Amino acid sequence: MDPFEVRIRFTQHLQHLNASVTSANKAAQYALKYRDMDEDLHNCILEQLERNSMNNRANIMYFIEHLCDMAARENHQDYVRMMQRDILRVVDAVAPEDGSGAANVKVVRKVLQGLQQKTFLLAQTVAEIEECLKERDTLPDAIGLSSPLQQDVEMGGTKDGKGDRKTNGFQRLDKKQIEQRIEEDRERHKRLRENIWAVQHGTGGDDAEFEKLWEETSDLGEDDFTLYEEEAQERKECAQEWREEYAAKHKE
Amino acid sequence: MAPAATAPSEPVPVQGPHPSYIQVAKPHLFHQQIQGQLVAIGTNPTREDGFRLQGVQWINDVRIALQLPVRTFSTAVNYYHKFRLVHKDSEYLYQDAAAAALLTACKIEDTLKKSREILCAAHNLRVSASEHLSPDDSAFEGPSKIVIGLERLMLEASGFDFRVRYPHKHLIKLAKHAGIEKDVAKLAYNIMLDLYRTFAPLKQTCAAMSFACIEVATLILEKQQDAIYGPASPSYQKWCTTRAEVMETMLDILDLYTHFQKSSIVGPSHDIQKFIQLKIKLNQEMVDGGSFTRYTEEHEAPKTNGLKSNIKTPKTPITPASPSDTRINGASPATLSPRSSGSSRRGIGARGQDGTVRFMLDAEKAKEEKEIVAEYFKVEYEDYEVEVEEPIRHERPPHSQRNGRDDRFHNKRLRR
Repeated sequence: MDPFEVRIRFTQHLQHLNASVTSANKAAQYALKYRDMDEDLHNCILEQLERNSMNNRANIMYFIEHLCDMAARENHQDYVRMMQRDILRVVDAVAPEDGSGAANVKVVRKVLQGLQQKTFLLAQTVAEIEECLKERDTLPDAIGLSSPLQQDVEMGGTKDGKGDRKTNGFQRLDKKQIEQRIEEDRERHKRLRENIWAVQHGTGGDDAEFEKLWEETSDLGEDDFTLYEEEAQERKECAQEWREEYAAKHKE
Repeated sequence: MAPAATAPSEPVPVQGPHPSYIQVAKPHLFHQQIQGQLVAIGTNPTREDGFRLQGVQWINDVRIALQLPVRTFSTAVNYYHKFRLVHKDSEYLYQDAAAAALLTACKIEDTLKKSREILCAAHNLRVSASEHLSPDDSAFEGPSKIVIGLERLMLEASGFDFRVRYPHKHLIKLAKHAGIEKDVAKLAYNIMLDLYRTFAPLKQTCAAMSFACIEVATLILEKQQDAIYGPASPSYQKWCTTRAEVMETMLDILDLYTHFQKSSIVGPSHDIQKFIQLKIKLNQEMVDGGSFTRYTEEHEAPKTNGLKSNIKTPKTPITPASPSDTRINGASPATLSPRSSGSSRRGIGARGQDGTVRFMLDAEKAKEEKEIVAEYFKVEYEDYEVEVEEPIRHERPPHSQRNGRDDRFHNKRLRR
């Protein structure tokens, strides 16, 4: 395929990302299919990150985790390396310094944690980025999704609103976008719950899980004894059944 | 004329629909029952041990790779064991059965994993990182179908019984209640994991297993023994268990450690002599106590032919070689109870001809229903007195006229 066309298609993939895993996987698969153009496609990602709506940037952020995952699995480390190199730029685009992407700060944190867990990023890098992020989600003049507070700021006609628009190259969110974001967050949360039970197992057996159970298991209660009683009753009935069955067999 | 007269008096066999089989789910099975079942389906004891240990190991490895919690593990193993009690090991691969058990358990425990993800995790465990595949690889297409097919058999083998037990939780509750120190509890927790390599989870209640695991842990570490067994310990009675049950479970786990030390979690880190010592000690207690046997709910057969309990350990010299051995003994359920093994073992084929199999949880209800149904299906042999002399006389006259005199003459002669 023509390199230009690959670029266009990939850009489309990125623009149409949503909260589903399928869309992220599709885009990641595409990126790996044309891995010989990895640098170009990586630039595409950065470009789209700086151009699109805050919602889309969040989606692209999640996509990055998928991409790194898949690249590592397919043993194509270049994507991972480039992402390591440009992670600051990515973070700056998804959760800009001016606070316009305050709602994305959580997204960034989550993805960074994921990347660190999968050893795509060093703990030190993540800690450093975390330092910068701290201030970004609390700025009161934040435009975008964070809080209704900016509404007043806007109405007051302060310069902040205009300034943001300029520095960010990004328009105010309309209602539709906000609803879309709520929907997408809900979807992501739903997926998170699919894995909420996951237990990290240490290399040396089940220690982590034991620790967790030891900490979390509640004390003995009345209902526990009811349960033991019921279970014992059940066992007794089974024993009775078995005795009858056995006796019946040996009669013949 | 004659047939018309006799026809109504002849008993006509009623041929109604088959009274479908009822398979009652059994939340607990006992040692003798398990062994009987295994022999009935023609399992070789050595192979049985091997597949049981390997299968449980497989489930544990894969569930750790998939970050599945311990409750999914216990449920999966429970299904695996139950499946293996009705299906002969030559009919399936143990890996497939283990995967199907894990898949079923994932659904029941709401820790969803797709069959492909399970197979992929198992594959990736076996090979080096460079050969790792992703779950959507076409290599998992066929195996995935097999596993999904087996899943149904898993549910059938368990009798659609979704009652699950979480002994690990109760182990920790008991440990905390008894004031067990954390290191002992941790060992007990791992012993509980090992216990799932035996059939004990099918046999015992959570309470009995918890007591047994903690006690074995205290014995191994030689500390806090009084906290779990003795006058100061939590009372068995309150936990609705007995010393006999706890003892059986402890010996089950020690059997595992002495015979298959390597294929367990706790085994390799302790000296085998220690396990043997503990076993001797417990056996001594059993002999001294006198009131209980090695296995609970075991019944003495009227005719014993020397075939005793230790079928499961391959080291015993007396092992039942073929199912026919036990049939002489009368202990084969296959020949006697169609619902326990015959029906589900033969798969759908034979069952389809015989009638439907229905699954029930409530044993009491099933029994009631069976009694009611049996009345209708009882083939009654009533003795009808058929007057056969009558028609013969009608037909006879011309005949008897001819030979009548001779007969009479003959009779007279005889009488005289």
